[in-house]
Amino acid sequence: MKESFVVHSQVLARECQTLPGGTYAEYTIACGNALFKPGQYLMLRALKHAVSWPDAYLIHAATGQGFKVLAHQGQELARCAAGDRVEYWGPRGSSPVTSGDALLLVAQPETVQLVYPFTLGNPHECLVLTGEAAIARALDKIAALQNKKAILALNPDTLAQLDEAGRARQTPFANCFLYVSNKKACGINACKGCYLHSPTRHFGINACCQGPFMPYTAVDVTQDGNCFEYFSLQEVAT
Amino acid sequence: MKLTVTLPTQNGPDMVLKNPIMPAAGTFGYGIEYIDALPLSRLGAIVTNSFAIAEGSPSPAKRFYQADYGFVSSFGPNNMCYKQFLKEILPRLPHETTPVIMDVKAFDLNELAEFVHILSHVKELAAIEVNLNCPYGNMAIPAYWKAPETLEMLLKTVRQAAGQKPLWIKAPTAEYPYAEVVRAAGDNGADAFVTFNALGGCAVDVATRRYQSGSFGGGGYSGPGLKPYALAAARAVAAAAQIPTIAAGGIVCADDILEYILVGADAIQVGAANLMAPDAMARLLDDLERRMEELGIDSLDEIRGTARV
Repeated sequence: MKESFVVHSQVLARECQTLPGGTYAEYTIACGNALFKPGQYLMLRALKHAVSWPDAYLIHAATGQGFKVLAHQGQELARCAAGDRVEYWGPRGSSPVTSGDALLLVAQPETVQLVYPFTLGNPHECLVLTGEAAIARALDKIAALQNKKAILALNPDTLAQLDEAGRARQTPFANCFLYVSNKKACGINACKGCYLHSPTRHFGINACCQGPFMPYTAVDVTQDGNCFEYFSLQEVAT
Repeated sequence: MKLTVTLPTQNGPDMVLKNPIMPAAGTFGYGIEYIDALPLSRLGAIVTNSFAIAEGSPSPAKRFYQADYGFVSSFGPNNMCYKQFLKEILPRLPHETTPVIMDVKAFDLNELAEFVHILSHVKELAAIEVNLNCPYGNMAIPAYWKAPETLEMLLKTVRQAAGQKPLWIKAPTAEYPYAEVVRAAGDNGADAFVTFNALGGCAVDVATRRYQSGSFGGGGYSGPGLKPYALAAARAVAAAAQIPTIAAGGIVCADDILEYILVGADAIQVGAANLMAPDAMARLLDDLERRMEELGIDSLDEIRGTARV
């Protein structure tokens, strides 16, 4: 029998996970055969209310019991407890890395949870941007990538600064992948809400299935930066 | 139990739907995206995202904000090329067993007529749904539906352009003169009328002090929070209509569907629920069958328009 596309599941465990950006709620979502690649996510809906929307939760681990994801305080899942019913579809999206890739992770405290899935399986260096010289330091590292890949997750204003400085310095941004934080309402390329502008496709390119980590050079930060989400420091209730 | 819905047309054979459930344009992609999530052939009909004659590009603004009990959307004109849809997607939809309806929009009436005329020759399409929310993108042109004479001109023009192809007219917004607009649609050759469209709405992120969606700081608000309002609209439209009515607005459960049928709708469109879960319409169909059995309803025809004080 074909497995149901939408999986009815439950929260197995809720713990707290402290990262440079604060404390997040870490959930284990029941799944018998949990497989994923870093960068993929679950579209997950908590069923606490009759009207509830799904949201995208990046998967950072899979155990014999299920997927592990982080939730921030603005997300419905963050108010769930062990035993609560959820439903999900996924893993969705694609992974920008393969096993063994050496990674440079570039984030700021507010967005560290977005690169967190890449910290658990690949050799990596994590650069958390703080202070005035942070952008220049990040561009220096990116310029010296060589065989590494860079994974970037930034709030829109920081991204705009980095992009502008990078263009001024003619940073190539090859092997760089950017978290495209456009709202993913469906996760299946149906709502068209997460589309990015593209120089080659007038209709644009889909971020929820082709991303959410997209080649930096495919993203027009100037045109699409206004569509990106802001992330804040977290302190979820324990 | 009889779930079928028969929609008479003004120029040809009746359109028969297996059941009253179909998606609302803008919430179900081009149908094909849902092929793994639910059996498309179970649906009463498939209504596509809105198309213009020219391929659109993504809006430069945030397009989607999920509010309590609904969402504010502002997708802009990001439709794929209709030729690509006709060539690559439509053949993969179950058009032989499930009517496929293309929702269309345009920047002016000439473009709308040209586009409707082109689509009128596509045999796989069961009908064309014209969104009265036209013209898009040109604020200098008043909305056609606001003045009776321009509405009549639009309706006559698209009717002529559509030839024998069934023509559905979709409400321009949530607030319009229900009786006048649906009567004008029927009098000028429309085959069915979709009773509801999004209400204007906006939301602000208090931390960043930015609007949550839309190039102009807002968009269309849709979802279950609007259902009582949309239900009243459906009732008013059905009471005045001489043609079948397709109701829409905040349907998330079987009782919502039955309410719309009870106030006179022939069939219904599902919007927000598709964005809560991709298999929402399959669940609605299961729930509808179960609920009708619980309530002892053998056929939707027996309850249509029977709500009483």
